[in-house]
Amino acid sequence: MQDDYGSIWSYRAKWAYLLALVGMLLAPVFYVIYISFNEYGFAARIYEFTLEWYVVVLGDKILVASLEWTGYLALASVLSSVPMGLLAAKFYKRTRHKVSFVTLMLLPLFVPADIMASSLLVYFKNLNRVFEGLSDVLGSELFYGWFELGFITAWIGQVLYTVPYAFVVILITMSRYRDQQTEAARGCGASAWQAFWQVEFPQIWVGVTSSCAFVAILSFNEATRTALLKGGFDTFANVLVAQMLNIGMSEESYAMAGIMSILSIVIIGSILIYSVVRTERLERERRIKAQPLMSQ
Amino acid sequence: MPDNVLDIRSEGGRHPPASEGLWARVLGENGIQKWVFYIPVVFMTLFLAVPMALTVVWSVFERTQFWMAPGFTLFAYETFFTSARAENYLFSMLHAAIAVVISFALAFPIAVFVRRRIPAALQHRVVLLFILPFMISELVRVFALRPVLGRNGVINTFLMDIGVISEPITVILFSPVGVVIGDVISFMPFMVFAGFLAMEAVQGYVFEVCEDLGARTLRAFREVIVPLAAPGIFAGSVFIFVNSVGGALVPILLGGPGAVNAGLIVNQAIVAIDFPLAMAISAIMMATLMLLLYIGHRMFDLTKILEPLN
Amino acid sequence: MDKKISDTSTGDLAVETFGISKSYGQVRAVDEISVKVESGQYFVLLGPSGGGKTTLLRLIGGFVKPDAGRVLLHGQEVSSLPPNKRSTSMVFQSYALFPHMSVEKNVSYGLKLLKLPAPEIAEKVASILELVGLKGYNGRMPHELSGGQQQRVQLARSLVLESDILLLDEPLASLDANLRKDMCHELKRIQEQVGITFIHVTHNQEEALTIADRIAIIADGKMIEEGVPKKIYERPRKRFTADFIGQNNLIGGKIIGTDSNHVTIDLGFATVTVPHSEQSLDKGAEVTISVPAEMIEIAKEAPQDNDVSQFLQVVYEKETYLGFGSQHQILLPDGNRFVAMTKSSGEPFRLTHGDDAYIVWPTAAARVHTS
Repeated sequence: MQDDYGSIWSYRAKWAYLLALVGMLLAPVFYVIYISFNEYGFAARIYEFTLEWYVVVLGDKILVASLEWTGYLALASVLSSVPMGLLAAKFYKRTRHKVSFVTLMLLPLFVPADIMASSLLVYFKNLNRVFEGLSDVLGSELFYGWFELGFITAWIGQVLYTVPYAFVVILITMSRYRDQQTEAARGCGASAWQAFWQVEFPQIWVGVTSSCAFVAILSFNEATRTALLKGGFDTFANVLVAQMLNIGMSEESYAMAGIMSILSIVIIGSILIYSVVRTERLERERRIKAQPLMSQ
Repeated sequence: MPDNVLDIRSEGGRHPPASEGLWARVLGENGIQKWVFYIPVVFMTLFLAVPMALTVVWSVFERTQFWMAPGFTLFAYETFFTSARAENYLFSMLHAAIAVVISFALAFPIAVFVRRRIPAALQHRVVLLFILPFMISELVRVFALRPVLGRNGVINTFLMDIGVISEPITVILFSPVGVVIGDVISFMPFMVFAGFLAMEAVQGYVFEVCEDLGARTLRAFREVIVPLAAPGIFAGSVFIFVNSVGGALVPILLGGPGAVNAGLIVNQAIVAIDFPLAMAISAIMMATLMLLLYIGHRMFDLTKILEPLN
Repeated sequence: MDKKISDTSTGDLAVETFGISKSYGQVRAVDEISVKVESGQYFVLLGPSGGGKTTLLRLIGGFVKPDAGRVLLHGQEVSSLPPNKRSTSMVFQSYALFPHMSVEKNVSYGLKLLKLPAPEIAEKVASILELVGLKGYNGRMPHELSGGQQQRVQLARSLVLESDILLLDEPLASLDANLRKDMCHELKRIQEQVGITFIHVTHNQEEALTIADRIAIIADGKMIEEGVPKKIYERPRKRFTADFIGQNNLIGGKIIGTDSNHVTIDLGFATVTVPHSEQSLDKGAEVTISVPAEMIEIAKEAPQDNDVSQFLQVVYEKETYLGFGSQHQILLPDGNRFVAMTKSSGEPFRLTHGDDAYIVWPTAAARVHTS
């Protein structure tokens, strides 16, 4: 505590408030998870712990297929959003038009899902028509169906959604990296790629891995854009939404919500724990370094 | 001391051997071509900027049975403004504004507290704490409010059990109140992050100076901290506002009959295969967003938010 | 050409720039600088912060692309080559060691890129560490080293590549004062031993005067003046140099007479005679003269009028004790102030504020500047 004169109770009260807020945000979710383990579902008087609903969900072929598609989409998002975020972060450091660039990169955060997705929907449909017309004129089938609603269009929607997050996380990590080291590596004879891979990346890999986790989680949590832009498949979240709206809150729905939440909690929780452990270790190293050394 | 180690006076120093091979030739001298760094810009322009710009164009097209035909008609806008939709849009803006105010009131003091009382090295841990609810799907977090706010939900059961009420409170779900609660739960983590980012602009010493000069807490808050943190607060508010007006998820799950926002109307329009209408509403929504960002920039200079990133 | 005894230059040119320029937006960081550095020389770029000396260094190293002009290394045009293709090596001010690599790995980084065999690398690393005084430090990590040690490792990393030209960007700036002096001498020792060209950027005059074979003064993107330290200090040509180096008193005047050896200058309240410089000096020209503070003596009575010294009637103001000597503030009749430095002599100084006095300096000590 930095204020020697402040009251410790006021400090504790503020901490309690902070934790209460987090709790308030998380409590409904934990309640849902709690219900998902109940044999008798929601609003039942008796509670009996069971994994039955999870077994049902994971045994359902359709649901498992949707889980697979969710996985592919998440993987595709990570493999494209994170490198793009990295490139964007490097571009940001060098460009003189920083403001307009950042505006462009962060714009998806300020355009609501439904709006962005519906515009993209129309865009893709029009692109298809244009390409088809082009193909007819050229007499080839080369341009057919590039943007038919399917995996690729859903994937583009995900990338647009997740790139801002990857960009910001990597940028923040990179802000602690000193460019002199890249220059020193170049001076030693390294090419730009070698300097990046051998000197820079080992120092920013934590930010890169975190953004991989974030992008993956954001991707499999996302339902709106996927719903509008997909074709020929459903993701796990899509199925859940459909169930919520049509069937109501069945026990399977609770189990599905449980699966999604537990996965997110486990991944983020691991990152949290790792980050705490790591900062402790770095603190120790820093304390060693800060000890006075003889002038040499 | 060995003298013969470095004997370099003759030649002009060593040049590293150019690494031959396919990879080197493809990637160029630097191992990476310059154009690679333009991929993000190109991607975002192609798939975000262009569609957004075209939305306005499409909004004036004519509606056909299953699609739309190029043309110029303001019919879609007419439909929007003369129907109940315009009213709903305005109401949803009101609800969104309420959600922003509540989120700010709840979340911002935390950002101030963390900045002021928690050592710099540990501040980011609190941020991480709030990333957790943020990373649980909005879908689940909003869906989870049903068993909590519903007639048979936790709140009602609890209040009835302890005898405060005899009938369940129905206004908190499937109503505008439910929508506001849903928006707050959905987006509050973002307001916390925006608050943290905004407070980056307020250095630790500012608090000490305020105390030194004798400014009482509330006054210091109003006259010093809020102006400094304004850009970040505004950005966070715009985010919440825009996503509350434009996100169909919350009204669909918690809104009940008649609680509609722009996002929901767009969805409905698409389901009704009225694309020009959907585009018109999207265009209006985007115009609202642009206007807000422009006003904010004029008032606060939003570029200040970027400084911590440099 | 006058050279220091310790100058190890061989005569041919290691680095040459021709009219090199670089702008950042509206700011002209480097404005058509042409400089020549001989092989084996310890060349120092000295100047105020933000004056362009670091940019010039980075242009030579290839970290920045010039807008105009050329860079030649050993007679070869390198203006479009990236740093890894030039025969230069750079030592940075700080934070340039790879923190995730040990000292050994840091130093051997460049050698590994050259794909040299491992035993050869190990041998070179061991020798170079011994040269910089860090024998046995192979396994240490950068955060375990002091500031001075880190700079030595950087040196080792650059020297082991056997490049001809070492560029040093304010290498001592982040070290504390005592350490800086020691490292300064170390750098010179290493340079003499290895015999390659060093180009060293600094804003610290003492550093420059101590180690340089030649100094170039860089300010506002331009090269102001260039020469050996002794000449730069004792006989600066430009007004800026006189103002920047050492402690000189500057005052403006008009030339009222010249002969082959001296120039007579009217200061308004007195006339003085100053040695002729190599520039063309015409009657009536507005000039500035500079007098080194340490050359000024203070007297109570007017000295004899003679050829070897100049004097002015002044009012004494105050004394500031500095330890090794004192600094005296003098008021001139036209309202300007001069500073005189005297060494501590053990005797108390006899004048107090407001006393009439005279300042005297050897005629040969002053200089005249036309620009």
